[in-house]
Amino acid sequence: MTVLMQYMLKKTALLLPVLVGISIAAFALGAMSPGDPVDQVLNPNGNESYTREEYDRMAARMGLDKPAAVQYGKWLAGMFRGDMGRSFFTNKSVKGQLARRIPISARLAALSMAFTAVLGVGAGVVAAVYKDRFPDHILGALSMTALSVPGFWTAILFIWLFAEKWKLLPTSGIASWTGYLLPALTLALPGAGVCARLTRSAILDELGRQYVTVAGSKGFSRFQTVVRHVSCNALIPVVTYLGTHLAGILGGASVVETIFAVPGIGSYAIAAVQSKDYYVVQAYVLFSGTVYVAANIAVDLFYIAVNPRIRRGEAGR
Amino acid sequence: MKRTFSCMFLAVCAAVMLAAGCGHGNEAPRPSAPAQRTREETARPGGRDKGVGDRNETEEVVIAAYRDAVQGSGDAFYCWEGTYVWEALTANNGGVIEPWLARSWEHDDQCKEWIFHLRQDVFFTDGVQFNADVCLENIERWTHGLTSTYTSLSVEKSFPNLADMEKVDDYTVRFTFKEPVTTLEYILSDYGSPMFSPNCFDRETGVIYDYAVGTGPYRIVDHVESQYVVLERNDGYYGGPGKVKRFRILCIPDAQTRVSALKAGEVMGLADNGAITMDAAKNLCATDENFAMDSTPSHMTEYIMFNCENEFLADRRMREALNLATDRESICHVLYNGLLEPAYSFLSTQSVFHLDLKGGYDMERAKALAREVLVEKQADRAAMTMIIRSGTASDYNCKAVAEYLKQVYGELGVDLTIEILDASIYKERQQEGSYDMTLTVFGINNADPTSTFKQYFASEGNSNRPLNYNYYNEAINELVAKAPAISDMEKRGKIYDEIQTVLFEDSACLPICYQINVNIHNKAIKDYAGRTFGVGLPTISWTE
Repeated sequence: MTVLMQYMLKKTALLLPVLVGISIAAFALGAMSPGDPVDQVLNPNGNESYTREEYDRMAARMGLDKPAAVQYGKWLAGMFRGDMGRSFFTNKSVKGQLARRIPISARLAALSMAFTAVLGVGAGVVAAVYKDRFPDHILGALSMTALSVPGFWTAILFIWLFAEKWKLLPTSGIASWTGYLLPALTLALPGAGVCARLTRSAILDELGRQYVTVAGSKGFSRFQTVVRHVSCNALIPVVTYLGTHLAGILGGASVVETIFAVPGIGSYAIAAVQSKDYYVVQAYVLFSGTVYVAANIAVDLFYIAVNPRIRRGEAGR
Repeated sequence: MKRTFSCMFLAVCAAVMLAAGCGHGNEAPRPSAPAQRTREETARPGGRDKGVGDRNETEEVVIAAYRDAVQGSGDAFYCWEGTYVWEALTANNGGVIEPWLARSWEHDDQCKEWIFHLRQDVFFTDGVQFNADVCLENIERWTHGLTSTYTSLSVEKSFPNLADMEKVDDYTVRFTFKEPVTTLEYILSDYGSPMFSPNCFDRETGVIYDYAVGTGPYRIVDHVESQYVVLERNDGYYGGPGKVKRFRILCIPDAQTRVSALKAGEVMGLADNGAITMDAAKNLCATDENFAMDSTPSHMTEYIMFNCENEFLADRRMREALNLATDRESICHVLYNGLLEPAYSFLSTQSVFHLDLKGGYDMERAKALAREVLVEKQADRAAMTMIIRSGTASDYNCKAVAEYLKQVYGELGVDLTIEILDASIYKERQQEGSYDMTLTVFGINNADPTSTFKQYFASEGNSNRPLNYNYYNEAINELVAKAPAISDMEKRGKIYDEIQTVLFEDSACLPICYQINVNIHNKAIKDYAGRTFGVGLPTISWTE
């Protein structure tokens, strides 16, 4: 069995207890947090009254009349059958909702990731090549601004500029692909800022190494050296960051999704948390947990792919 | 060096801002709000305008709401009443109950037997005729424990103590009750009796299969969840067809984005509760002549509800002091831009039972009363906590009102701590009784206020004790118990007058102001007028 296979098996075996652990934690937190889902179902506008009998009947129907451990066990059993339950409030299948919303969030995350990588790595490379010169300074200021400005503010600014003033892009909705551009860019900017700084410092680290001097002596220009030789080595920390960044966006960019009316997983989760919609929250937690673990595995695989020492098993010795 | 780059960065930002500033709209006076129209006008919009008929036929009108106008199969009502897809037996038009799918009704002296005469010219959009059988099938549907995000729907709620229901003839149904029900037409209004084609729901579960099929002037032709719904005119509508052939209602949850969509011309109007704040609407209309605002009275009222177990608030004099110190005129004028009316009666002006009471603002008397109570309790000052639900604070201008109250109540010796809480925590605090007063906005559950009076002020009310208002007044208990048995509208109205007077004199709670629905639209469309639920789609048309 290759090192790669062993590694994959080990990571996959770890996934299950991690997911069970986070689902228990999410369930416990949900059960302990204030609010009563039965009351919210019976009294959706906060102004209706109901009898004790009606309450008990609804609690039984929602399965909330049982002890928390029983509720959790029932939910877990359902999960093994592929049944994620139904939302308490909308009566819609959680599985159906996730199936509909995950692709939307995935498209948004992929586009945002592309923006982050292109803008971040591009800016980082240029800044490193032009270290301590005008482009480096201007890109440094821009990347610092990008990572410092809160997402909601950027979103409002973008809507104002691109939709209200210039009428180039829609304010909200995903009726066409252009609807993804502003939210993706909003999500990408802070990541691009971090990515640019990481790329710059990683490239500058590599530029001090001996192989760069050798490349220079062979007649390669500084730019060619950076693109051909340095970038591969310098991108390892950048890819680590991009992996977790992607998982973060895919796991739920609730604020940005809400502002741009993108019906993805983030806005779904935030509504569920507010209304204590347990099944939805549980499913979301499992999904985002899986995404994080998968992203970490993908990053590790990338390490293996680019680092021959790990591939040959030397790193473990 | 650093300074040079800072300057350059600021210059770039300034250039962007300057470019963005180009093309800003001219200031224009706000157009006056049109008067409220009746449901009759909504249902019978009449013919189509010459010259704009083609546009009404070919170009859809896009409006935006904060939530999906269609909740879907899992919801008892499937869609919001403002989509004009389904209709009910009776309609509550500003507190006045009007015939809708039921053209008339009668009851016996005891109010135990009710007969409803149904319209004979009504068809669902799938061609099924509305009649007594369909009406009863719909009521059967409500027995399946359907839930909704709008309001609850059940036979127990719509037909309390129902003993029997039967078809008298094809267009007449009879309901018999174990106990007298004096205000059935009120209870059945709007969300109290939605009617759907029997072909569109499962008889076993009551769940609507795909699209809801109603009798209304519009029908659903496309829906993408959480994004939009497309409504198409029902040309065979018994009340006459609407003017615009197609509407698209977008779901834009964020308030700021909704306003941006309106400014960008992506949507022609905003609808539904809290679509735009009064400030934002007024500012937009004042700075851009392309927009007009329509405000219609709402059934919602802003109140301060007390926890009467607080040692100071248990004393009527302290409640009265707070009442007298609350300058409603200033609140309405300054904090609500003069758009709201001060409230003194518990029932809003939109209730047919509203009693026109007038209170006053008397700070000196308020101070004297508060002083009396504080001296008796041997306290210099009283510390109290006011809680506000976060949703209420964002939808209405409650935070500013609370800050104002904190200031004026401080002059009485009441130190107010304001806490804005998430809905679930707010409810828990109410149930625990760990608050002294709450600033809240609500409307009565249906056009008959008996249940609301009972809920909030009777000793056994479902909200009074459980939510720790802890209000006790034997006179209210007696009046609330007496009202349901009185079938004569005039006599019952007198009971409601009496209840409102007692609540006012006892300062049981403090009504602050009667809210309004603000509807804003682009002047490219006209006759965009607010209704109890949303805007009147059938009357809207393109201007040019």
